[in-house]
Amino acid sequence: MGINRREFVSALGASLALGTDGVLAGSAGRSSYLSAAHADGNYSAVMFDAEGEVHWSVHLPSRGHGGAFRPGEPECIMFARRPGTFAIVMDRRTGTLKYTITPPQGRSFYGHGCYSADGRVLYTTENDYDGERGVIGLWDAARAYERIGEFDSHGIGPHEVILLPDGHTLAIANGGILTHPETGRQKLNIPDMAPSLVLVDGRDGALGAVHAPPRELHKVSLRHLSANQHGQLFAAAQFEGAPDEAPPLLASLGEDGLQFHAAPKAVQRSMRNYCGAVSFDASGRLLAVSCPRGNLITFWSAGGEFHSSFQLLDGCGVAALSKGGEFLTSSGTGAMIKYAARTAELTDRTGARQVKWDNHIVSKI
Amino acid sequence: MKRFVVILALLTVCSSQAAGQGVDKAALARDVIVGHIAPGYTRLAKETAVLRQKLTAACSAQATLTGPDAQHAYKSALSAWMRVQHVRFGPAMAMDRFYRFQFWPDKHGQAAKQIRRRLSGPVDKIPDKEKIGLGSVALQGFPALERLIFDSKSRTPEQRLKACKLATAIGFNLARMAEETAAEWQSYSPKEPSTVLNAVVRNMMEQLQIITDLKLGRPLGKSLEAARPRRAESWRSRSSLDNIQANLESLSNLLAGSGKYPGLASVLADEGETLGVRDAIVEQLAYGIGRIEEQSHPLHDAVSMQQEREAIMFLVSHIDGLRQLLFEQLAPALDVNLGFNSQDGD
Repeated sequence: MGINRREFVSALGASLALGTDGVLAGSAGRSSYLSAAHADGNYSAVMFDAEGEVHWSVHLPSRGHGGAFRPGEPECIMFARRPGTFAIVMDRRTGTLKYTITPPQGRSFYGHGCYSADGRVLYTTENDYDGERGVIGLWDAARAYERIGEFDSHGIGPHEVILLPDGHTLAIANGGILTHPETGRQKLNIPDMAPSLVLVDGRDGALGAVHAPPRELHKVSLRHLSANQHGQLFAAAQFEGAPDEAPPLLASLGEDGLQFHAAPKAVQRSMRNYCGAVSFDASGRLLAVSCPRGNLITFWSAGGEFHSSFQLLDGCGVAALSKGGEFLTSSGTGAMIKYAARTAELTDRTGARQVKWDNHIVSKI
Repeated sequence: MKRFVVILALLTVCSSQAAGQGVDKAALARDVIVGHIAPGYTRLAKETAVLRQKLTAACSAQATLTGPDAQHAYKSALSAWMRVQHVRFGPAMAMDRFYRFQFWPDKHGQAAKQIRRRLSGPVDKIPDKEKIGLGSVALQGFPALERLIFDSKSRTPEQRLKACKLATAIGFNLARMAEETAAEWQSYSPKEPSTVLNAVVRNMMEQLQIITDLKLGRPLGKSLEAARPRRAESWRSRSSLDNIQANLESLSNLLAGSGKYPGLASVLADEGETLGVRDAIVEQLAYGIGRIEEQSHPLHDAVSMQQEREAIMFLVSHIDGLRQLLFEQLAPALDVNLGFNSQDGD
């Protein structure tokens, strides 16, 4: 059985071993990965598999950023990079364009969003720029993505929102940085920025909790999130203070609020005060945190201890492969690298085409 | 199925198969600090010390801030600031100094609010030179001081006294911050020189973008009707274009060097063919400065005049072109990663 099983697993990318998600993945039951990219002068959304094999690629009107897979339907969405004015919904299998959604008057997308557990509601992080507050936009995915409402993100600059494994709690990373479409990406409130990690109930927007870093870390802008199947939640940050400092950039939510985790000093410095993306592996025991300015991908235990790292120029995208301890990582220089933590083995999955991979890989394993 | 193991070292080398390998980064980083940044801050310290004196003198004589002496000293100090405004790392960023020197754009009009509150409150609530540094960043720097020195609104004698106390405190604060920062640059020795070059190049690109998008683009607006003159930086002192000129002159110094400082663009000089790029960079900067010198109207007037607008828009595209050139030619030559994925806040 041993050899047969191995062949079976490698052929199907191991996704069937994980149960329902693998079945839902449709066509061949393989894992799917979605990333924004830039190739031949065009911005696009690209769907590929665990081998880095590109399945389809769709042109975008401008640079894309984050995305999500809709549960229960062969659908995926990609958001424009902030300040974003569109998101496009595509058929996950073919890339066929299904819907384009645009933020309502007075709102712009921050580039991330997620679906409710039943795939019915899409949540998007948005800037109410005249009100100078963050909101979570609600869209009815079953009714051609009709806008059905919004609620407060309880902070400025909500960047990423994810659904926690309880099936209804949304975790929101409010980066705390004020921006306005008129001033583009210029940061307008660094001296008194106030980031937070907020929990709200996705069903009614009821506020669960607001967790803010301690005063001395108020310039640690919490931006990206990952939670494992046990509900352990991590936020990866960029630091807006003096570049000579090297504060911790990774926070987890514990019983007593936010807990910050630092790597050994030399590693921490080489992270260059900037994390680009964060993702748990399939087992929920290992966390990948990318540092594109430091040209470094770092790995951490679910307890928040630094585990290992490898160098990858402009590396940013990180996503779990279906096997525990394994990740797919991508870079702005076009590299696609598989990393296996157990052996620290790196495998090149870079395709023949010259593609600049954008910040995030969204996975469906 | 393609499957081969890549060893760590190979991966690193492959992915950074960059030019600029012959550059002595440590030496160049030191040169930038010693030959460009530190002298810029020393100049700022000198000019803000003069400003402090002139403010004290103006106030002790007649409590008139709006005279030519204080205004002239303000403009000289502001110009010195514009020559270091692109430096956004190291001692410049410590303790929020950068924002305390100049909180701009001030989207909430915090400086105006703070000043209004102080001038309408009791005189003993005006922060003195010790307290001012601990309060709102919007009240500490050049924009707040500009309102006090250049605002033509008539003030009562009591308000004039309060404005004087406040301006004197701001003058002290600016001079002290500049002196401290200048001293810290003198002794600044980063552990990794590559971080300095990275920061400097990134800052330079940011500065060019700030010039086109914020300093020029915002007041211009999308059309003549949508022009917003008061969004211009330092419009009250009519310094908006002078500021940009000082910015570009300083970037020219950073790139082309002066005296013993070789300039960042020196890395391009020895590569035969790329000699032309170095010249192009310097010439493009000089050309931009020349266009600003030709302007006969202050920016906040020019944006509402059709013909002048076109000249300003031309300047915007010229600076965009310069930024593109630096991005394509200089950054790789310095082996600086201005990567696709390392942009702010994504």
